[in-house]
Amino acid sequence: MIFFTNLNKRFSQPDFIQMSLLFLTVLFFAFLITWPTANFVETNSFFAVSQVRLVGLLLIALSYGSVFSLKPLAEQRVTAIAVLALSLFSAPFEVASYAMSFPPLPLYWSLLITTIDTLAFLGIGFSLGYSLSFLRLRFLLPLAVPSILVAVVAADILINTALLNPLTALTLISLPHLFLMTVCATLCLVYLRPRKEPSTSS
Amino acid sequence: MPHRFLIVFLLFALLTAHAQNVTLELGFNGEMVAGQWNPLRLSLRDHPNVELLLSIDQGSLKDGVIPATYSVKLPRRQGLSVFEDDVFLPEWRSLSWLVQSDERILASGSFNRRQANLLPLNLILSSSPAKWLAFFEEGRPVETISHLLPDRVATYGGVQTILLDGSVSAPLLEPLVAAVSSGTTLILVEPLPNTYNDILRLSSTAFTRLGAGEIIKTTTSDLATALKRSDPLDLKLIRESITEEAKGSFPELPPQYPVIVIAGLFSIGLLLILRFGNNITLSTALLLSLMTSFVAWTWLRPANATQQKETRLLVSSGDLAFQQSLENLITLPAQQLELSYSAYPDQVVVYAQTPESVTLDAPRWSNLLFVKKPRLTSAVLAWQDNSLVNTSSSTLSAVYVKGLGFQPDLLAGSLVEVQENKSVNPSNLYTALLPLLPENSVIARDNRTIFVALPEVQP
Repeated sequence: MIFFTNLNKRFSQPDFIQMSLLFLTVLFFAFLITWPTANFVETNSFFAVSQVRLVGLLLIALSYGSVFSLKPLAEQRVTAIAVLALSLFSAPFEVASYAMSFPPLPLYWSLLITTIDTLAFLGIGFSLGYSLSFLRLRFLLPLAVPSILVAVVAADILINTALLNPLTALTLISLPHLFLMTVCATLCLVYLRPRKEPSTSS
Repeated sequence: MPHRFLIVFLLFALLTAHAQNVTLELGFNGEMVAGQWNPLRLSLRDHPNVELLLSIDQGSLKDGVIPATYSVKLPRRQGLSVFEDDVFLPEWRSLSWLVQSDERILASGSFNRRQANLLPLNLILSSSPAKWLAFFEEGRPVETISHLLPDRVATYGGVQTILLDGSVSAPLLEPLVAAVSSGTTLILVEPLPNTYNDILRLSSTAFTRLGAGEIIKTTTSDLATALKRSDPLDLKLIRESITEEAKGSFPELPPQYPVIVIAGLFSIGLLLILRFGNNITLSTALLLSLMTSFVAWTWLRPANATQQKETRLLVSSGDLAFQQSLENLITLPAQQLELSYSAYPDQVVVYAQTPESVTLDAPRWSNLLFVKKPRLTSAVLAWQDNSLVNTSSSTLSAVYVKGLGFQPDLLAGSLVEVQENKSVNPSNLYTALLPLLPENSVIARDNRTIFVALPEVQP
């Protein structure tokens, strides 16, 4: 219960509210400009809205993961779950655009990939924050966070396969990508699991 | 030495015999009409299970290769076997064929691109066809043989006229009736021998309409005048004029404004819950998202993601009607369409045709129109002296006579005297059809059929 109380408090903190406001504004704008204005025409809004939602959530996950990597574990856990919850709260935009667009992939796939990739990139963010702290290069965080996304896109182009790039996974069912991200997400959850505090003998 | 020569000769004969056992004929005497159904005739002798495959490239330099195929599987047969069908040939860049068994290719060939000709054919059944060439200003004159005329309606889509001068054996009645009913002009140059009596009985006057075509009886000296008087229908233009009617439209989307307002309200509500929700933030926000997703899905998802609509055109005169069906398929999700009838798509897309089906991969948000193979049926709307008669089992409404205006609805089995009534303007569909029809033509419709009854020809 304490966890849920802390989680609800986390939602209302200024940094999270500001990040959510920015994210929902960008998502709303993408939804607005891609919704057709004529009545009997083809709708393609899903392709833009789903990609904006995914990129937004991954950037938020990487940012929070890397910035909070040195905070206490309880705080990291609450922040991670808050970011994951944000991905669920923003699902109606994707559902609405999917309903009209009839993309070739099933709806469950895009929702699943977005959720799992968010958790996986949270874990990658934690690793990134730790690594840069260890190398005393935390000042590079603002550059490093978007660079991770660029790096996964570039890596897929180099190896010519749909493995790392989350945007490709939105256009075709890629089981290798799902497997890899599930492993990363699981590692993140294992890292965030509640641990027994070591007892001190009197 | 002679033995070696004999062995080589026998080998050669064996190989060429296999090649000679398979003959494919497309069109009339090798002449095809692009953009129309064309007769196909495949002759085989002593063959195993084989498959005939016609490969057509209907693309262009700009669009690249757009393949279309026609295929048919033929079971093993001893002796001579002949397979006949009608194949729709679009305007093609390359056309090739092959006949293959499980083990090998038995025969193959291709057609020159220059044979993709849009001009219709003028078939001449005469022992001296050259003397009739000067009478045909339009189209391509082609000599043909009486017994090779198919009795299928679709075959004659690209045939403008058939001329008989009695100097060759009389063809059967059925092919001529099929041809005339599908819009061809049959020219009978008299005097004709007694073997043509059955054909002469098709027409009691110099000019007669039957189905969508006409029969002209004339002599050699009056042939030029008779051809000038001829008024054939342009069935292709008539079909194109009803395409707009036949083609449906995508489902209507919800208007943009309410959707955007609800999206905005959802975003603001979510932010307020996150900020002020306190202990119920998570559950409330999740509930709001779930409800909004449900409402969005049920409101925005079209009820009919796939729609099918058939529109039929019946052009009649006399007892026969030429029936052309157009099938409109709207599919919002991408899917493979397999239609269990012989048809071709109105647009240039990749498709595969067999004698009984047509298959294609429809992309998402497709609005496709298929033109079915035409057929003959009985006429249900006709002139009877100065009245119109409806012999169908349904009411015909929006009855319009060119030159006289709208008439009362024709109930099933009723006879209505025609009156002048030009007070109401015809619809866009009728306005597009009327210039293509002769005076006193009747247009009417029921739920899914457009009826056109042609007037009797005045002697």
